[in-house]
Amino acid sequence: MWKIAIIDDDRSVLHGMKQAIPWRELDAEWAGEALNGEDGLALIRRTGPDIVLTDIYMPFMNGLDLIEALRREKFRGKVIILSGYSDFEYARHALRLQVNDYHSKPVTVQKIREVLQNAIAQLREEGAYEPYLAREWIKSVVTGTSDPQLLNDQAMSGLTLKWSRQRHRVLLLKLTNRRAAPGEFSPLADEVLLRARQRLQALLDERGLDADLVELHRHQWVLFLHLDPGAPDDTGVRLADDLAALVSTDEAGCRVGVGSVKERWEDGELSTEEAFLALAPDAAEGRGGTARRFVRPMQFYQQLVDAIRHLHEQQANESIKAFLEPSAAGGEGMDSHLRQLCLEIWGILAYSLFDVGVQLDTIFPDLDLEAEVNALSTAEQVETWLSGKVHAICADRQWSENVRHKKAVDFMLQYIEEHYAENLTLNELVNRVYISRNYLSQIFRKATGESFNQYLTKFRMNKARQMILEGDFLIYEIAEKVGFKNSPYFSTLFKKHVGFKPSEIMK
Amino acid sequence: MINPHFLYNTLDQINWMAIAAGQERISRVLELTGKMFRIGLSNGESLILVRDELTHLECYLQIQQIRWGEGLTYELHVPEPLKDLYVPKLTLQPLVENAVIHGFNGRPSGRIEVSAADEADHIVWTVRDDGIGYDPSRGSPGQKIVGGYGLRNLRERLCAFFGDGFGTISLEGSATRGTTVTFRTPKLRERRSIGGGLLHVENRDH
Repeated sequence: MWKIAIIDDDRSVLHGMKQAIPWRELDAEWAGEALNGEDGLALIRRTGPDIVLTDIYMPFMNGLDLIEALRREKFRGKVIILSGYSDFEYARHALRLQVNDYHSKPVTVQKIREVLQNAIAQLREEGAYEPYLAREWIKSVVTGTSDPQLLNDQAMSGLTLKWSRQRHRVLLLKLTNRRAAPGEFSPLADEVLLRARQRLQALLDERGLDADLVELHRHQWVLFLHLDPGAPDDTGVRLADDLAALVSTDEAGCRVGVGSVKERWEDGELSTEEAFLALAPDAAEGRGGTARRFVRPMQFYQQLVDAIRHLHEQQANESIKAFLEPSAAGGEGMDSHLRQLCLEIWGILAYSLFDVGVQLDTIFPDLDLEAEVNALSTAEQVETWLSGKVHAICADRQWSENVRHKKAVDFMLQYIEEHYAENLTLNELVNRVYISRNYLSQIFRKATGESFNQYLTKFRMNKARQMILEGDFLIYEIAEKVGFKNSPYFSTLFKKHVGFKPSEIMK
Repeated sequence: MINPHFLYNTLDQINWMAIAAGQERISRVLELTGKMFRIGLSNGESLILVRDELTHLECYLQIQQIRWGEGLTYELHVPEPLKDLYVPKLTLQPLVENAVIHGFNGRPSGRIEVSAADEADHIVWTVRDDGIGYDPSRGSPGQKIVGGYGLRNLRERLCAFFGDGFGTISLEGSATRGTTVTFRTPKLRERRSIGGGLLHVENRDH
């Protein structure tokens, strides 16, 4: 999701823009708006948008001063000027400030769409700047859903270097809509969530806390707190109450669960599970709580949601099976825990899919959830029930466009698997799927979160690592087996991805 | 004169009202109008790049196309190097407006072709339409200056800028061939200060 901030001194422009931008089509979200440059700067600092749309002539701080301030702060997003000004001098000045686009008002919706599409295409091109990827990566760290291999992602080395000197704690925030009946699916409005996020960010800034806010889905957020050496151990504990009070309004309820402090950032996922247990409805009952009956439910929820979002039905089913397996021998009283689990999963699915534009209510219009769930009493029945639902969700036509893409992406993944030993290029695949190179590379990135080349290299390094550990081949042989004629280059890439030279692993 | 900033903001305000009402065509006309005014005013400059003059003309033509639907077609043939030279602003648009309003009056369709040719130290401009055609007999006898206000104004401006030698506007036409207007401008490589008087053209280097 690309975040777009809008700054203009005219309320009707702010309102019009927000209505007119095709958010879903652009895979973008509204980062907020401001009526002058000064507030705009604060908004940008707080929300870190990928794209800023701004006017020039505004009170307090004009658009050009705002952009100059952003450039001084090394803001890396795209800036687009939509100006009511007639003076072309401003346009030239804007060019010197590396403004990405300059347009004069009035503009049509079509024009706004084009301008934003261009900016997003540029952001995609500049692979180095991928806030989306970074956010997804942090999410995989705190939920424990990433491949251990991925934890050594070179692109994140700056972050992990800092983290290695800190201690870490996870706070889990669960939001509820106070105006909805218990158990009713009723998502909070974008504005409500945005304001909550802004207040939360402001509090963190005010207290000088280093933390990443990760949205698992609309109503469930993780705050990954990084404590500098010497920070008091209870830093997050006191913060939890303040956060709950800060986020709560007449509309939104908020409860905060706190995990324990971990020395290693890689253990952040354990802190998340602890925070989750602390929030379980029956947590007060101690060891008997439902959540405790299952192994790492947070990780499972995230795996399930990720698999469904990418329409990997098989992967979803594997996660369900693996998660429920230990419960099959659950014994007495297990059925009520299983039913509790089903309700919880259903809620999480409803909110996560809502975020990507798929509505469970539409797929299952006449569902009597309670009745269906009450009929389940064994882990096998739950597995069958859940797999059936996953199948219906994945087959729904709301996904139709994604499905066509998925076929192409599946083919590419399969092709990489079969041909990684050869000299493989994206162009070769373009010729086989009859989709333009640009488009193919776009949908591949959207589905996997990585460019084709990044994915291919990662895949090859993974294979090489396995072969090295198996110890049947020499390094230059392995290099050739994963498609590298040049073995020193292979070794360099390997070290970059895995963290060791091949020779260091091979003993 | 009203403050241009106010004009653009008002256009923009109408634009958002149009967008909110789902009126995409209105929004498009407003976008084109805004662009036209920006070039038309050009901060008070009298000479503008040929490139901008063509943009101005295209905005006008596109607004007319929205009114006409598919009946109105046009082609612009201007060699790329000529686009970086200067011309007095609003030279082409009045001629094209004549074609649209008079030439195509009462017709379901019309076609306009604007071209520029590089001839020694001049640009030769041609505006051709396939309308009702210019009929010399309709001018009053002995009338030295033919054409309407648009043509007369252009002739006066060309004379004022470049001298009487550039005031010749040729006008040919018949009911079957439409009307063709031809005139010349000097090849100006930079914008000169005009100061209300004649422009001294120095680039007669051939």
